[in-house]
Amino acid sequence: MIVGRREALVGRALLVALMAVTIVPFVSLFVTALHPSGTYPPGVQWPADPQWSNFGDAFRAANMGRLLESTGLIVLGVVPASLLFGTMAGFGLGQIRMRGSRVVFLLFLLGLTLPFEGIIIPLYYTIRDMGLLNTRWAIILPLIGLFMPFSIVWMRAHFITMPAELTEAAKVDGANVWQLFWRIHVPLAMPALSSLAILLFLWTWNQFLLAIVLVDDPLKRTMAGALGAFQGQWGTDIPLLCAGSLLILTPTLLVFFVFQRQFVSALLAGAVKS
Amino acid sequence: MSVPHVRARSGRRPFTLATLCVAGLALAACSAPGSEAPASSSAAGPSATATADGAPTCGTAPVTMSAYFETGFPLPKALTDEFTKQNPNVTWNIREDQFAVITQNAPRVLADNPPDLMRLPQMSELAKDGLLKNMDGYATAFGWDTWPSSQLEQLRVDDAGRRGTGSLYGMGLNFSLTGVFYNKDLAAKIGMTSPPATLAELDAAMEKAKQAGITPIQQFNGGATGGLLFPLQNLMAVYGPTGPVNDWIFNKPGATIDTPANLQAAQHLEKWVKAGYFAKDVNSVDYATMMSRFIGGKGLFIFDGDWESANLDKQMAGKAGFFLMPPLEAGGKQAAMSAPLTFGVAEKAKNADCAAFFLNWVATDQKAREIAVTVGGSHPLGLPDAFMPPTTPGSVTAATLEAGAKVVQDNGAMDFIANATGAIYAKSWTPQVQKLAAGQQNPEDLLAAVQKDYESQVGS
Repeated sequence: MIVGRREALVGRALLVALMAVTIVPFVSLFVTALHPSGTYPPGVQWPADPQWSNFGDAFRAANMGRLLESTGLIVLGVVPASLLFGTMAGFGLGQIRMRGSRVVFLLFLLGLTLPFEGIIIPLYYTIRDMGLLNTRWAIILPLIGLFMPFSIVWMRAHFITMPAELTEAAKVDGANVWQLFWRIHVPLAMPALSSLAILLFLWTWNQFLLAIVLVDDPLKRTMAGALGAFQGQWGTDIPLLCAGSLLILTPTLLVFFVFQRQFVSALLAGAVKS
Repeated sequence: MSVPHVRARSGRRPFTLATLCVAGLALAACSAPGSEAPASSSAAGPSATATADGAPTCGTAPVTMSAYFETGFPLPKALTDEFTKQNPNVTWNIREDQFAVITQNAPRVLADNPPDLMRLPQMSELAKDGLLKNMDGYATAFGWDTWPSSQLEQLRVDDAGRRGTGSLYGMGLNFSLTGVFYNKDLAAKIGMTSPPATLAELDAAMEKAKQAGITPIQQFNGGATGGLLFPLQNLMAVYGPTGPVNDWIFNKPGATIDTPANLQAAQHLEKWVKAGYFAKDVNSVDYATMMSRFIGGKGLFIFDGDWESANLDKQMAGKAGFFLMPPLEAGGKQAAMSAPLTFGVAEKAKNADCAAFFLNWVATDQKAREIAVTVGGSHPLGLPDAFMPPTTPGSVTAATLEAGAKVVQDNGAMDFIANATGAIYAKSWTPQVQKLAAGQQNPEDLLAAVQKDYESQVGS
């Protein structure tokens, strides 16, 4: 592709501008986090005496160690199971296409339109009757269910683009359905799977509503609730809140950096396929 | 008074609707099975651990109290720590949540996982649904009924769920109040050496500040906040008695906010707006910005509450002052928006007697009262002549405590007009005072519009 000088320049300028727009809130967050705890810093201004200890204070005040552990357990409960079920169902709907698969798919699409908030009350009573209130299962089980429509639609979209010749070739070589799934299609689905894993991880990590409604003990909830420690009824400890926000988003950034290659390749997979 | 709008954050907006919906529905659903009407719920009965004079205690056997407090506010924890020091058989199992989360979870927590002691949001529905312990028996046993009546008025709920009269369903750890904070350095520049004694003097000080190029009032009124309600309600109490305002907040039949006195108050506020006493961008100033500007010396006055007094003593040591809204004539009665820091006991609590003993201890023990002031920054409840800890003369805390005593003496406590109904603040007051600040609304129509919304909400 031939790109003119002007075009390249405009492109770069646009990218830099967008990057600046994205980065400014983080810079503001970071600078504010360094002001003395309990003050009301005026806008973006480097503090005279940066309080690096704010990060440690925020970590302790919000009990982040325990929350990290709790969120880790919840993520471990939600993400692998959702990936497994989502992939199997997506494969069924996208490749096997048994009778009635269109109806099933439509049902899941319907599920995609359902907002969490709309079912929180029935969910509360169900979980209470199951005796699971105030346990981490009260977050894990509903989340697996609630993530299903998206996971299935996502994985089906991948499987449906895989050429039928692959499946035929494998069948000719004597593969049964399980082998076809596990040996042929899952390895090919890695980019789609890992990006789904990242998304599910982020959504579980940030889950707030289910956690506060279904679990009373703040230490059995997810990270998102940690920021509450800096908020009172009458005021907010803004520097500590900012330090806490940065701490909370660090693990998600790490996960993204580790998996970014897969993530980008998954995004591109759809874009360049002939 | 719950002041929901001072929360600086609005990032969780998608949850708020759901939050309201959950709170509302859970309430309706929880009230059905097995909950008693407040009239039939038992008051503190004779207790196994009663003292000779009949007042309950925590006994001597080991007790673990379950408590549910709000985050970001160290007072309750400081009190329970001290209480355990004095009563070693009592230990506390405390969990903390944001106040917004407590508001949302209150009905279901009280029903399904009843705490012995809990920070309460607006409580009329909770009491009506029989989720809160009726404290009348404790009030008699401990003598809370001899305290100035305005202290506990807001915690009373009648059979119809109206606040202000009826049985006691909660108790305060202290009471906060609002008034006017001022910057002493800027005040000295315009020759204001002592707090204004009348409203006219306050007006004059604002005019002088304006002419000296100082912003007279920094007030938050931006986004989803209607901070102009603070001066407005203060003015209402200057022009009229507090009774009708409280009646309106407590939804007494026939109560109206659209009175001649309140109209004068709204007109006075409009006068301040038109004279340019507020910062030009008042409709985009949020709470944190207001505090930041005031502490930074960019405004003479703010209308705010004593929850900031400890903070201001630290960040503007010696430079900040506080006074109650001055009356029309020097020496007149003064009033303030004032509310107890409300705690309650679940109807189904296991250790209600011990919780009541604790609440009484908070109001009567010397050390506890000291903690209420030094950690909480507000005036403790109790008899007017009860022990008061010494404060630094000239500090904001000393001024707010003195103001608290004056309000008790004048029986001038008002709840916040934003608490009259669930929606009145967000749907009526906030947009109306924002329009007033922008010069798009006049005082007459403002009060009429709010009253119309109020009637449709109370009537339904």
